[in-house]
Amino acid sequence: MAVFYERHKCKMSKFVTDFKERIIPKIQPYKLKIVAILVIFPSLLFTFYGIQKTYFHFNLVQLFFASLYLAAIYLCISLGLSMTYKLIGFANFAHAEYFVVGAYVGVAWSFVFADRTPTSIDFVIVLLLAFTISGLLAIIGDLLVFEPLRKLSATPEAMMISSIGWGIIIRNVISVFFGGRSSYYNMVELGSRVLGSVRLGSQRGSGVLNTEVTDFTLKFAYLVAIVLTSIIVSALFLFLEKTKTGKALRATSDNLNLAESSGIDTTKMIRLTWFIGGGIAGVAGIIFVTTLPVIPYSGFLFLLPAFAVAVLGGIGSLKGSAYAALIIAFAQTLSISYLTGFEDVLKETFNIERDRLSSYQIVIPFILLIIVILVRPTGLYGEDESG
Amino acid sequence: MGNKRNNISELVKKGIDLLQLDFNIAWKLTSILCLIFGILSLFIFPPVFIVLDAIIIIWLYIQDTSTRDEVSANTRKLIATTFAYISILIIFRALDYTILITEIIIFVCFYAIVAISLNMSTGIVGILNFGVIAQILVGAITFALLTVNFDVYIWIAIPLSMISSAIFSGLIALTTLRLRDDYFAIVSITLGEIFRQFLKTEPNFRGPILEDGQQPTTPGILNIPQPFKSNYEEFLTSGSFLAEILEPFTYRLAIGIVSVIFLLFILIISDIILYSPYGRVLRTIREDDLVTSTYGKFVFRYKVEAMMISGAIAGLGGVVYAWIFASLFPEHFQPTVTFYVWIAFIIGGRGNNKGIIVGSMVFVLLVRVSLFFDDPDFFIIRYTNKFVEFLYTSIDQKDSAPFVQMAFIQLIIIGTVLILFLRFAPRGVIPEEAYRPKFRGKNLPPPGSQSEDQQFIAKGN
Repeated sequence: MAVFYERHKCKMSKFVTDFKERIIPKIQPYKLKIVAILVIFPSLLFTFYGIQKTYFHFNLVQLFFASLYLAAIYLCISLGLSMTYKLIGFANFAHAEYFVVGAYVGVAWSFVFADRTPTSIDFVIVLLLAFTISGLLAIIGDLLVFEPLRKLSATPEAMMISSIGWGIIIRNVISVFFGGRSSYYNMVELGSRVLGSVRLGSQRGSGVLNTEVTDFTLKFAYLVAIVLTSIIVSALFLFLEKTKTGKALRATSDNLNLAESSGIDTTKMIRLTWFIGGGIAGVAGIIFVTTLPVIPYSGFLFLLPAFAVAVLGGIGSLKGSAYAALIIAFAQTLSISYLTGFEDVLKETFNIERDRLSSYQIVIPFILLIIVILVRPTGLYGEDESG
Repeated sequence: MGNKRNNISELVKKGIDLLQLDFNIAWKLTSILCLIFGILSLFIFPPVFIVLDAIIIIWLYIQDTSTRDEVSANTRKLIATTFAYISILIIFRALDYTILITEIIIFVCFYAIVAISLNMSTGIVGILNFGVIAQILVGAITFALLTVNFDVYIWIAIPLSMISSAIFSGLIALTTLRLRDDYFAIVSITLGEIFRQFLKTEPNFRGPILEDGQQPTTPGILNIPQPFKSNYEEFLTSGSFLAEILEPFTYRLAIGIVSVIFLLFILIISDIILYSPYGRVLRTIREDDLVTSTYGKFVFRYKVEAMMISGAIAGLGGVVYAWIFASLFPEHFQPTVTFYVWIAFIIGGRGNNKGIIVGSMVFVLLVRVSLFFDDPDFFIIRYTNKFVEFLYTSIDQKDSAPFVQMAFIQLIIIGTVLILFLRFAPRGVIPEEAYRPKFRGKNLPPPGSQSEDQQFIAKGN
C-alpha cells in the first residue's frame, strides 16, 4: 500500500512539476487574454440569450451617460488616492472625506447666496473654491497627522489607522457645522434635453432580438461633469508629462531618496501631490452634489470603489486609473439591468421568487476589487511588486 | 525646557526611592485606595472621587516606567485599573446612573473580547485585519439564525457560531494572506461591506418564515434568545435579599455577568496560547517571517491558524453583540465598529491582552460618559452651538442652523485620541512585555538587558 502510495505520489508530483515548469510559462504571457476570453465570451452568449428571451433590457444611451458620469466621480476620487498611495506608500482611508468636503463647499455656497439665482460664474467659483479648500485640507492633514509619523518612520499600518482617525475628525467637524441631514447644492439651471435612444429587448417572450426606439432625458449636469473630468485628467496628464515640476513629481513618487539626492525638493513635491489629489477629490464632490444630495457619511460609499479603481488601474498609474474607472463604472451600471433580468431567469427556470436583486449593484465594485487583488495585484498598468 | 522636565521626573523618582515606595506596593495601594474611594462615594459627594481615581491612576501610569518590561508589572497595572474602574462604576451607582453601569460592563466585555481577537491576528502575528466586523457578523448571524430560525439550544449555538466564524476567517486567510499587507486590509474591509449588503437583500438571512408561509420582507432578525432570561426574571421577583439589591439593574446585568465570564474565559485561553511555545512562534512571525521559515516553521499555516483562532474569538464577541441588541439589523454592522475596536486596541497596547482590556475600558468610558453631557446646557455644546448659530445668522440663514449633538464632538475627541496615541505612544497604555519563558525552572532576566544576558551565559558555562 505504502509502495503504491509512494509511486502514485511520485507520478502526481511529476505531473505537477511538469505542469509548473513547462505549461505555465507558455501560458503566462497570454494569461490575461485567456481569462478575458473565458469571461467575455460566455457573458456575451448569456447576454444575447437573455435579450432574445427578453429577460434583459438595456437603454443604451442612458447606460452610456450614467456610466460615464459614475466613472467621472470614481476617477476624480481615485486619482489623488492612487497618487498618494504610490508616493507615501499607505492606503489613505481619509481620502473620501476630501470628496465630501468639496461637496459641502457647494452646499455652503448655496447657503451663503441663497437669495440670488445661481449663475454659471458661481459654478466656476465654487469649483475653484472646492479645489483649493479640499487641497489645503489635504495638506493640513499631511502636516498634522502624516508628516510626524513619516519622520518617526512609522509603519504604513500606523499611517492607515491614523488616516482613519483623521477621517473621523473631518466627518464629524462637517456634521457639527451642517448637521447629519442630507444637504443640497443649488446649481445653475442647466436644463435637460430629451434624446432618442435604443432599447434592447422589448417584448416579453417574442423570441426575437428586439430593439425599440425610446427616449432618454439627458441632464446637462451629466455632460458638464464628463467634460470637466476629461479636462482635468488631460491637464493632469500634460502637467505630469510635459512640465519640469511634473517630471520632478513623477521622479519623487518613483523613488523618493533618489529624487532627493538629485536635488528635487521632495517635501514640496509631497505637499503638491496632496494638494492636487485632495483638490481633484473636492471637484468630484461638486460633480456629485450637482445631481444628488450629500450627507457627512457619504464618503465611505465612494471610498471602496475608489480603491477598486486605484488597484485595478495599477497604483500610481494615471492612464490605468482612467481605464479602470470606465471598466468599474460600466460594470456597475450594466449590472443593474442584468440583476433585474436575473430575477426573471430565476423565476422561470428555477421557480425561485426574488426581488430587489438590483441592490447588489453596490457590491459589484467590491467584488471586482477582490478579484483584481487576487488575480492581478499589480493592476492594468502597475509596476511589478518587487519594483 | 525638556531638561527641566527630565529633572523634575528624576526628582520625583528619587523621592519615591527615598520613601522606599516600590511600584509593586504603589499599584497595590492604589487598588485599595480606589476601592475605598468607591465605597466612600456612596456616602459623601460622589463626583469628586471620579477625579481622584483618575488622577491617581494616570499619575501612576506616567511615573511607572521602571518596571514596564515585566509580565507581573502589567498584571498589577491591569488589576489596579480594574479596581479604579469598579470604583467609578460604584460612583455611578451613587449618582443613580444604574442602567449606565450594566451598559458599560456589557460594552467593555464586547470590545475587549473582539479586541483580543484582533490582537491574536494583528498584534501577535502582524496580519493587518480590518475585517473585524465581518468576523463579528458571521458569528452573530450564525447564532441568530440557529437559535431563532432552527430553535437550536443557546449553549450549543454558541460553539457552532464560533466555529463558523473561525472557518470563515480561515477561508479569507487561505485565499488572501499571500497578498501584500495593505491589500489584505482593503479586502477584509470590503468583505464586511459585501456581507452587510447580503444581509439587506438575501431573504434566507432574515427572521423565521411568517405564519402565512411567506418570507419576511424586511431585513433583520428579531427576538434573539438571551441567556437565563426567564430564570433571572423569576429570581428578581422571588423577593430575596440579593434580588432586592440587584432589582434596579434589570435583566441586562445577567448579560453583563455572562459576558464577563466569557471575557475571563477568552483571556485565560488566549494567554495560555500566547505564552506557550506556539505563541512564541506566532510572535517571531510578526518580527521576521523569513527567520521563522528558516527555522523550519511553515509560516503560512501558522498565519491561517492564528486567523482562525481570532475568528473564533470574534464569533463569541458576535454572540455577545447579538445579545446586546436582542435583534440584528444590517445597520448594526457598519464598518465603524471595526474602527472602534481598532481604537481600543491601539489605546490599550498591541500584543498584550492586559493592555487591550484597559484600552476597551478607556474607550467605552470615553464613549458612554461623553453621552452623559448630551444636553444643550453643557458648556462645550453651548458654545459650539452659539458659534454655529452665529455663522448661520451672519448669512441670514438662522432657521437652517443645525443643532450640535454630543455624538459628533465625542467622535472628534476619539479621533484625536487615536492620532495622538499613534504619534506619542504607539505602544499603548500598557506596552507589550518582553517575555521570556523559564529555563530549567529558573526565571531568566528579561531580554534587552545585555549585561545580564552575558552574566547568565557566563554562569551557565
